[in-house]
Amino acid sequence: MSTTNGKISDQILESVNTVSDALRNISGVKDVDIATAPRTTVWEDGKVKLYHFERENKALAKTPALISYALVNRWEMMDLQPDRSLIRKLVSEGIDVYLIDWGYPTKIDRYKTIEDYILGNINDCVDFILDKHNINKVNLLGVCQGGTFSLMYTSLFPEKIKNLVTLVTPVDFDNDEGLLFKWAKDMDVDAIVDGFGGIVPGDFLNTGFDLLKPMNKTRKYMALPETMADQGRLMNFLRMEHWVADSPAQAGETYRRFIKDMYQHNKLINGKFELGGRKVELKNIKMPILTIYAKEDHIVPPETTTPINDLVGSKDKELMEFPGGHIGVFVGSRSQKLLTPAIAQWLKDRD
Amino acid sequence: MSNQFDTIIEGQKKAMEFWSSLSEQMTKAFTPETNGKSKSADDAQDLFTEWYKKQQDFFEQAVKAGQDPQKAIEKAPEQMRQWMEIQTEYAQKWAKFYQNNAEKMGLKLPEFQGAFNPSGFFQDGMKSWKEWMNKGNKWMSEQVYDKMPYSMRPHFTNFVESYDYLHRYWEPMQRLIQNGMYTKEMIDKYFSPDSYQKVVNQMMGFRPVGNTSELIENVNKWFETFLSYTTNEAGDWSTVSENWKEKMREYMDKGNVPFFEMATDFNNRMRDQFAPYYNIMAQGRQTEVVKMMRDIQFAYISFMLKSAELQSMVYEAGQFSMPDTVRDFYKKFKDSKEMPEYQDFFQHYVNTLENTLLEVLHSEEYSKLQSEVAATGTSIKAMTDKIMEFTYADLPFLTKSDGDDFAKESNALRQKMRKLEQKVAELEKALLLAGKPMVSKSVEIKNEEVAETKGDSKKKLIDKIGKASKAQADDLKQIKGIGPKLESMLNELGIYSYNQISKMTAKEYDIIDELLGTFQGRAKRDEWAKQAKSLL
Repeated sequence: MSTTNGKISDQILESVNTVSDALRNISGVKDVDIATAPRTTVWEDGKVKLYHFERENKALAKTPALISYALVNRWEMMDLQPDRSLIRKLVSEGIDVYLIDWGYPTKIDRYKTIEDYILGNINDCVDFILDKHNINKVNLLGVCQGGTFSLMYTSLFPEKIKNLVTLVTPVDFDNDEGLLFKWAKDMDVDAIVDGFGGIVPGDFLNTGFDLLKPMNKTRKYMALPETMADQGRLMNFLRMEHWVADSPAQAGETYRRFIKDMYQHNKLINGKFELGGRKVELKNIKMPILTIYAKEDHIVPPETTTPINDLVGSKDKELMEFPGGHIGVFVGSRSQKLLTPAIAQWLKDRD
Repeated sequence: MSNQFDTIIEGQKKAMEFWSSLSEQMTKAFTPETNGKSKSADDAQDLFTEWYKKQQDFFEQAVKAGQDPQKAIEKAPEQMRQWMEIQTEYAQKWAKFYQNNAEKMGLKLPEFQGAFNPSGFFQDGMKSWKEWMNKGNKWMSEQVYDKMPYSMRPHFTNFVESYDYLHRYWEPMQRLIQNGMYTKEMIDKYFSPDSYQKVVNQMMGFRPVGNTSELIENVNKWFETFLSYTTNEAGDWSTVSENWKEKMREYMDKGNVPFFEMATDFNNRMRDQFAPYYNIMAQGRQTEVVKMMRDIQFAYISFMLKSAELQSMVYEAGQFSMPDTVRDFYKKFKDSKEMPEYQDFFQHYVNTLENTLLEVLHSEEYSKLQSEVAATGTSIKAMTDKIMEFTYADLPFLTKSDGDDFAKESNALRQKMRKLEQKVAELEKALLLAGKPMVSKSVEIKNEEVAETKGDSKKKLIDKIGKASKAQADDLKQIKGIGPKLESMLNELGIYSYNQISKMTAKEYDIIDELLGTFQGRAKRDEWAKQAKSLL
């Protein structure tokens, strides 16, 4: 009988050991590393930097791609984990990749305008790349708000862009489904920007993002023991936490203008938006354009994105649906396996 | 780190061994060899068989569930609990059996005490199991917590707290699930608005402006005191109280939470009524500061009320999520007679809560109110900044406004540069179209190069006309065409005397033109050398 019990205790001890294995995982974690793809800073202007991602072999496409990320949150989302990195994948698929890092705006940037970002920074980066590679046109890849910026830029400088790719990019802001779109309409943006002294803190934006799915944090922590049992998943959880918390402040004037002209008055698609006194007309975009939207996107719903395809003047245009959410576009396994190679192929076909 | 786990595991192991030997010892006392065939022995055998069978079933299921290691980890604590329950049940039955049969068997058994108290042991066992779980959880949170970004930590601790909080109510909630929701006392006890608010605050990361009902109570009290004061004092205050009473009547039969709207309105009226007095008082900086502080106070009350209203909207919406969840599980239980897992229950609750919250978050009302809360909140920050700046105006600090000036200036420069760049680009284009070579970057002369050329020319000039020092200086202004400005510029080049100038030729005039840039051709026109010679 004691032998029977001995076996039972062995089995129980086994379970206890398995559980403690899960607990042991966490103690091995030292640093949480994100954005590990090797890169060089090739150009800077104040806080804004242009990165060039290093590569071992020659690029398969002769036209490099410039990535313009959103001003909200950080570009590291595109290189969050070494094995799930849109940037690494593009590089390995033979694309030469450049990326604009907007930096962290501070008080001195409170009067930095949307013109400074688009006619200034983006244009400077484009010119730098054209000059360095001795070419006339570059590929532009805009992400989220950075995609809206790319559309504005390309409308004004179509002669400099060979192909345009937009990822989860809002263009039609007249939407009631997305909570951000709804709230932005009622937002007293003047009071906010002035109240914060011209620089809107990242925490303020994050509070809004948290409320889009109010119980998401709870779910995330609920799954934590399960997540922690696996070393890899644990690291990815911590990487994501770091990315979410790393939310740069917004340059007040740019924020004010973007909320008013885009969210509240939807000027871009109505042909009423101006940059530095020049009318921004989407139909000036005549080069090949690829529009990628995420089916389950609750931050930038598909309906706000897909009109791009109807508004541009391009003949060669394509809508691509990604079966997932806003963030999945960058870190989902389907992104790594299917989406990024598809983008690379699309660019190579039009090199 | 291994020590902690090894200690815990070691403790578990000892407990197992103890239980094995205890069981063996206890069973021996009732074996037929000792007591002959007896009912007690049969009962003891039955008890043991029942226990053994239960164990077998349990492990069969546990092993089946353990095929997937991931699931095994998930289920391990729950299985441990179930297994411990089997042991406890067995031990309690044994204890009862022991007591009932001891005398019949002619045994005088002492009260179960200390190490030989099986039920006590298992109560302790459960206690240590819980302790083990708690310690493990605590250690785990601490470890994860340390590796999280600073701003994410409160969310995590809040979650752990709320999870524990609900978990503590799991047992009574199970009874509700079994018996349905009819017990009003139970519902009052476990679903009070306060505990509900607490959970929602923690899980959503709300930083409540205070307990809503407490706030309402306090403001009410304050208004009452104020009103009794104003009724006695009459004068201008009477209009305030008149308005208040009128509003009270007006709002009596209105909408959901008229309190907030009414109180905000009253707050604004108060502010307006006060304004003339403060304007009279506000002479000089000190009183100006007082005036600003008054503005902040009113804005703050307004902010408090608005945020409380916003939060009560959220609370109101979600308050039935928990009873609804219990009801749903009650229905399921009635069909299946199986108690749900706590995790399933919690998950269901969280989903129900989110759905109801999203309905509110999507409403027009919420969106407007949220915007007001944000605007009022930031305006308070701006006013506080202003007060700080005003107070420290005489100190040698760079204030926020100074910083603002810098930012404005730097941006104006940025835009000017952009315009110039654009102009240059246009000119380059025009030149190219006109067939002229483009101004290319290679032609650009670097600053050092300019300095070098300048140095060369200067050397050539001085070589020709000779050196002179300030001590030898003549009044160069005597030469027609040289004014004080030109004189000092010539001095800077090392030209001080009539003698030097008298040695200049057309070549040196060119060098001077090149070096000075301004006053082009003047030396040649006014024939400086000739003039200088006559002055020597």
